[in-house]
This record gives sequence, structure tokens and C-alpha cells, in this order.
Amino acid sequence: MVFDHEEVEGSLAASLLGACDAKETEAVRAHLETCQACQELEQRLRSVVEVLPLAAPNKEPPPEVRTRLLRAARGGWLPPAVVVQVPPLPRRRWPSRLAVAAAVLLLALAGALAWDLHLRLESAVAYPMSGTGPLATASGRVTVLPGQDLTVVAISDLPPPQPGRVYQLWLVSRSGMVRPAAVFVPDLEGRSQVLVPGTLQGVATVAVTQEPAPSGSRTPTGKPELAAQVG
Amino acid sequence: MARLMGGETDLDIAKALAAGDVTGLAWLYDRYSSLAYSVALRILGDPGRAEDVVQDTFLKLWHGADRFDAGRGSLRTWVITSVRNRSIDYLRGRNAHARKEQEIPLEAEAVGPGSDPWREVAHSLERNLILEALASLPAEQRQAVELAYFGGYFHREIAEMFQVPLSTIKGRMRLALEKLHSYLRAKGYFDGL
Repeated sequence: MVFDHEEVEGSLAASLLGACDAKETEAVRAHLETCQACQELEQRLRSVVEVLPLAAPNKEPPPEVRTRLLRAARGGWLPPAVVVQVPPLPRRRWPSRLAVAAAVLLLALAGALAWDLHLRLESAVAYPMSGTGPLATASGRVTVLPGQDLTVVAISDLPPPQPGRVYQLWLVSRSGMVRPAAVFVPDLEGRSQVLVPGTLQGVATVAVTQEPAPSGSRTPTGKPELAAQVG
Repeated sequence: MARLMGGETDLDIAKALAAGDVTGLAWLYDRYSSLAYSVALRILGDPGRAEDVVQDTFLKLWHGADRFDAGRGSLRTWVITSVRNRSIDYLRGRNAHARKEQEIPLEAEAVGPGSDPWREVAHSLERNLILEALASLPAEQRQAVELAYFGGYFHREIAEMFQVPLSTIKGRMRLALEKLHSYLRAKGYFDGL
């Protein structure tokens, strides 16, 4: 099948939309190799076809698809989410809810905490945090404590924030809503622990940005430099 | 497996893929699985089949990562073209009578969190613009485009469906793409095209 210029102009859009059979598609392609005008038209129309997928209603695949894919790529078993077993501790070591609330404030403001939290629990679920850009060397862990209705965000190897800035923790919901959770600075050894009330219900991502000191921002002003997927 | 943080560029991802680093596949998936799944689900209308198509597509891309040529198109186009073609292959492999009519809802849905919330916001803005552009088309032109691209119908099938000459359908497709281009360009979406 050989197409002249006019025929190609007529079929080009259909071809780009995948609506032509193989012979017609090939005839269009052959003409394009030698026709500058049709090449320009093709470039223009193709740029539109390439963005059409964005019209599809946004849907998230179930998390197990990722797990299956990576397992298949590696040809082996992939561990599920890390489950941390925390041994129970004597009741007296665990502060009251009021003390926890006070601790949240203290920890957020002072930014210097003891590294070990002694939590009276039977089980918890932990998600790794990893850094990028300026925080590429930082790492952390988000530990959800269902029994205490509390979440602990522990970060290490955190450099001091830039002058005039503090770190701010954000919770990003599955619907894309971003809300501030805490403002903090690391201790001299680059460690921070932030307590977040609740168990991250409806939260998909926990992220950290640098924001203006001393009280941070109402919405993020920069890209997340440290984050964990939690849902 | 390292999650995508958002700081990685598509070039970083492409390099990791080319190096055979499975982290590259994880990043590619984290960045484009939502879009890929949305397209597959839009075409197939079956969540289970869409999941299979997405998984198969990413696995094939992983095995053929050395064939990606950044000079010929973006990673996003590479992924979406692959998942779209695979979905359409499935549709066309089925009995034509079993293929359901594609009624195309145009309203945007909530943006999912993905692994890169800031990118998702940008993606949402892009989606809204594309939806606006499509909505600006006359219905018969929009249907011709959507039935071909998302429905996997050949132009002859669409012509039969609407009981119009083939040349009419081809013309509608051409006009639709030209108008979409003009609309998006006027909104500053394209630079220099």
C-alpha cells in the first residue's frame, strides 16, 4: 500500500491514535520518512496523543502489584512490611497521656531527645524513611503504635537545617491533602524523635521539608527531602 | 526496596534501569504505576486484568530496559505507550461482541498519593487541563478520539458504529487532535511546537 501526501494527511491522526490496521500504519510511516510537511504535522499531533492518557481517571493499583512485580523481577521472595516486636515494659516506665502530650511539645520545640523510647506495647508496625538531596545521608523510621494510639518518627544522621530554617514533618493523606504535624531540629548528634498523636489513619506518606524558622509553614514550600510510605 | 523520594529524575531512573538495578524498576513503578494503572483500567474496565497488564508491562520494560532511548521520547511516554498497547492487544484479542461500549466519564477523580505527592499535584493540574481540552471538543470528535485511543477501536469500526463514511471519522480525528493542540498550546502547555 502506497499513500500519497493527501491520503497520509487524512490517515495520520487515526494512525497516531492506533486506529489503523498494520498496512495503513506502515504506509503512513513510509511516507513520513520523505515528507517534511507531514513530519511536522506528525510531531504536532503526536504531542497531543502522548498526553491523552492523562485523561484517564486517576486510580492507584493495589500495593500487592508492586510487591509481585519486584518479586518477579528479582526472581525470588520479597519481604513484606517490617513488623517490629517491642517487648512489654513495666507500666511505670510509660508516661501518662498528658505526659505524652507534653513530651510532643517539648520534643518538637527542643529538638533534643533521648534516643531510646521505652514503650509499653505488644506490637508495632515500622516503615523505613529515606532521604534525598541534602538529606540523602539521613534515614529514619516511622513506627505506628496502635496500642498507644501514637506514632513515633525517629530520624538519624540529620544535618542541621539551613540558617533560618527548621525541619517540618507533614502527613499526606491518600486523597493528597497535606497537613503539618510538627516542627523540629535535630540534636547535636543529628537525631530527632517526633511523636505524632494517632496511628496515621488515612495517611499515605510522612514527609519532611525545611521551612522558615521558628514555626514552619502552613503548607510545604519545598520538595520533600525525607519521606516514608506508610499506606 | 528503596521507595522513590521524588528527587530522582527520569534520567536517574533510566540509568538505574539500564544498569540492571532493580531499584530502578521500583522507582519507575513508583513514579508511573498510578498513571499506567489508570490507563489500563480505563481501557479494560476490569481491575484484575488492569493489575495483570500493569505488572506484565513493567516487567517487560524491565527486561527490555536497554531499548529505552531518551532521544525518542520520555520515560512516561515509554511506559504509557507500552501499557496502552498491551491493554489494546488484550481488548482486540477478545471477541468483538464481548467488548463493552466505552462510555467515557470525563470528570476528574481524586488524586492518589503515589509516592511523590508534589509530583502528583502537578500531574493533577495536567489532568485537569487535558480534561478541559477534551471537553471543549464537539462530542462527535471527542468520541472518535476516545473510542480509538481508550476503546481500541479501528477507524472502520467507529465509522460503522456511527454509520458515517470512513473519511468522516478520519477527519474528526484529525480535527480533534488539531483543536486539542491549539487549546493546550494557548494554555501554555506546549513550548515551541
